[in-house]
Amino acid sequence: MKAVSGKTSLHLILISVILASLLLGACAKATEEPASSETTPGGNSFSGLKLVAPAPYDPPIEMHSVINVDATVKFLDGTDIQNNVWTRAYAELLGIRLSYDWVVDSSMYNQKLSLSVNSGDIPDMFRVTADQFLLYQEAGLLADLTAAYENEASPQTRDIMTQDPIALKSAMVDGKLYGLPLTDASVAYASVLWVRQDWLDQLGLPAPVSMADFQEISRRFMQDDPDGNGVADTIGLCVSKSIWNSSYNLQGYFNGYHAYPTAWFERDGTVVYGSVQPEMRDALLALQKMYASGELDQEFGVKDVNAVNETVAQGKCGMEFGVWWNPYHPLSLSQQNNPTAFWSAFPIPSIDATPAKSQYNSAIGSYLVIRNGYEHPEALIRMANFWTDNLVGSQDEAVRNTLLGDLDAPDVVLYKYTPIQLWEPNAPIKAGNALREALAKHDPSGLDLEAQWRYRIIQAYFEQGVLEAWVEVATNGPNGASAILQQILDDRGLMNRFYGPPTPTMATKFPALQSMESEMIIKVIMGDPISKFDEFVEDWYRLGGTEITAEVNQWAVNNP
Amino acid sequence: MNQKIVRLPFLQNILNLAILGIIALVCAFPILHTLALSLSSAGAAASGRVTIWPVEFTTQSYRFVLENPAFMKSFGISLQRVLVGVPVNMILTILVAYPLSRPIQKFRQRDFFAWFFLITVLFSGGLIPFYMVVRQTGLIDSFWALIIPGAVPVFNVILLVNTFRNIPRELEEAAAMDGAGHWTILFKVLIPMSIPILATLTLFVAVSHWNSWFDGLILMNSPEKYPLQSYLQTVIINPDPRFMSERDLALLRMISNRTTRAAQIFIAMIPIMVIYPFLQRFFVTGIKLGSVKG
Repeated sequence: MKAVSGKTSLHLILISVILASLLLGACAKATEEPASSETTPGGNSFSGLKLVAPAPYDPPIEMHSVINVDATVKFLDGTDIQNNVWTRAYAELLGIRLSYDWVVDSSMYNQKLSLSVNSGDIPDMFRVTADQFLLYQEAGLLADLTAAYENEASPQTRDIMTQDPIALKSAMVDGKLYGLPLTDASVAYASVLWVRQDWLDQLGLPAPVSMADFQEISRRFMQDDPDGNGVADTIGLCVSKSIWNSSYNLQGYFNGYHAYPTAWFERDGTVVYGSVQPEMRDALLALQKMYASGELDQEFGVKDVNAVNETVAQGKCGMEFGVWWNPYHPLSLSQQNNPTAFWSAFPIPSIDATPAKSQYNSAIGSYLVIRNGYEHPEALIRMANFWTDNLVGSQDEAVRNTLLGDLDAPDVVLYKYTPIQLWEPNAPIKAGNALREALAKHDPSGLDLEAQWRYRIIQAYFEQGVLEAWVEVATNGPNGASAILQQILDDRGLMNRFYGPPTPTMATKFPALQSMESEMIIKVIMGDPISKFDEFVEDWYRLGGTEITAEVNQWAVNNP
Repeated sequence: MNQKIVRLPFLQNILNLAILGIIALVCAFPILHTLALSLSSAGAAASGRVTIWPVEFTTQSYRFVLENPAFMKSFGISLQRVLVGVPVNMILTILVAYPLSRPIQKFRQRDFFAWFFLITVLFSGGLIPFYMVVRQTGLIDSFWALIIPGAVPVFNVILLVNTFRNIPRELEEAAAMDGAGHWTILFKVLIPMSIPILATLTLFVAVSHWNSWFDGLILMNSPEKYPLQSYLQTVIINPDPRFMSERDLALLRMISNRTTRAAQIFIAMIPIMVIYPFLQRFFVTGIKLGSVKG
């Protein structure tokens, strides 16, 4: 060890490193502050477009906001998040100078927002989750938007806000509006049954209508080597350990037994919790049988969604319950090794003569809000109007290309640059219906631009044999999944009766009950006796379920 | 320095080798798997056919990553962070450790200052107060927010204080007799005798600067200023399809690309893998030196 002190060379290295870094540090300090140039565009760069906008603020107003931008979001040359088509449009057409105090990845947005707001750094306009909405409203941080909405909201904005009947209601406290709900299609979260159509054809099986058909298909998929590789490696139904996910879920299966796990619904005049109802029992027993016979992946209890994605990519997966857009992701993976793989959507099969209902939750999950004390709360409404008046149902190709992004260059998505996006809640259904009508008539002329783009893709599948286009055929084609959404919306759906913020007991006790619930389900499927379910029901009521049910019923009385 | 070489019985030797071999394999497997993934085709990776050997070999991912300006930029920021952060950490560690290693007769408030530093190890203010302090000192969104809040790694100071205390007092006294002041004692006597622990601590702080990601995400206001690991965090976290519109989903099909991620992770590993062998030999002696030198 004494030898070390003799190694002066190391000593020298250490010192030179220290010196070098001092120099570097000095350099870094010198160049550290970037010159932030505020570019004020001269003139109106949108003069060639037909755009609806009110008289701009004069003088222009400042608005500070925050936004989430993912690493996948791309910018055209010379633009960035502080200076792009949307900031220019707001500045030139509305007189609102929008700037972002910070920009963060979506996964960190909520945490960063909490940090910002809690440390007193409240943006003028920002997006919040339902929980944050309630919290900040109670703390008096949010501006009352009632008057601004009444005076300024355009007919199109009102239309979008009322297409979903609970949207505006959920943003009101004591009859006053504190946020603009970001609308989305609730029914799009309902499950359908996805089946490998090419396997059905290969084995000459009929489309599943009843739960008995479903069981038969599952059994044959497992036994009869539908991929023809001579190895018994196929799985009837793919399930991941996240059993309530948007893909590989189980609620679709339970719905076939008229059971609605995790959802609240009305029964005999009161609101009850689906997971503790007797219908669950038969469904669990049937799943247990499927698992025992090898129709489920024997390791599904430890496989997350990514692991099941691998099974799909390997072409071993025969069926799954998932939402209508699953072909885009993850089912498109199955083409990587089987170019002719094709998944078809079917309504949830039923155990008896009564058609099954797919359960879904309200999609209203976030709100745009204005800081209490900001001088121009109506600016938010004007920005929302700008979106809805110019983009919803628009046929103007130039406007859409300028503000949303060119459909032929889908990697630059322009609307990602603004937090104010108000999508039509029923858009996927409307678009799908229109598309199917046009396909039947072989005439795309009445379609809007996005639908025309989809029409061309579907044509490419049927006429040029572009196999990748199956994704669009399966979702919006002749028997596509969006047709099933229409049925679910009409009379084959069950929307979660409870869409409010967590009740007091829910906030403290529900997470434990939920994990108990999915644990019980997975264990029973993997062979535990069904008495586990009865025990769970008892425990559920004992460990807070009774109070939560009472609170939910109270809430339901106040929110008819 | 006269160590006896102990000869173990043959069987025990085999057993030791087997156990250590398994542990080494467990450590090496994820790295090999990542390397294999990064060199495989996208199809092979998605269907899980890749273990530790590339399937359908291609360097496509590396070309893609190296042409990605965002990746290279954050790589540069991380390098800068290590080159600035490590010396700042080391200089401050040394300058704090020296007075704290003096006998209490020479530095009467020593225990007060020792506790002043130690208390930050025992208690932390939590995330929001931390954020508020950084914000109110105007460091938010600046490169220095990654350096200054963690500039004095107290745990390292404690290690170094113990090392300094264990250096025979006579050496310093001899130097003092020859007219050496504090600076001379520190730089001419203590530091040369503590090279192993200093090398070890350098490695510690270099690795922690290179690997930390959370502070980048929280304290930087735009992705262009993320250090590499913060950037990787945003790329590697699984996209949540619940918050995606139809267009996003179309986009997702084009980018759900495990091989590119693997290539990025692997490139990010390289600098540390390069430093390790050079500093590793001090690692063992360094730790020992700080604890049981008698």
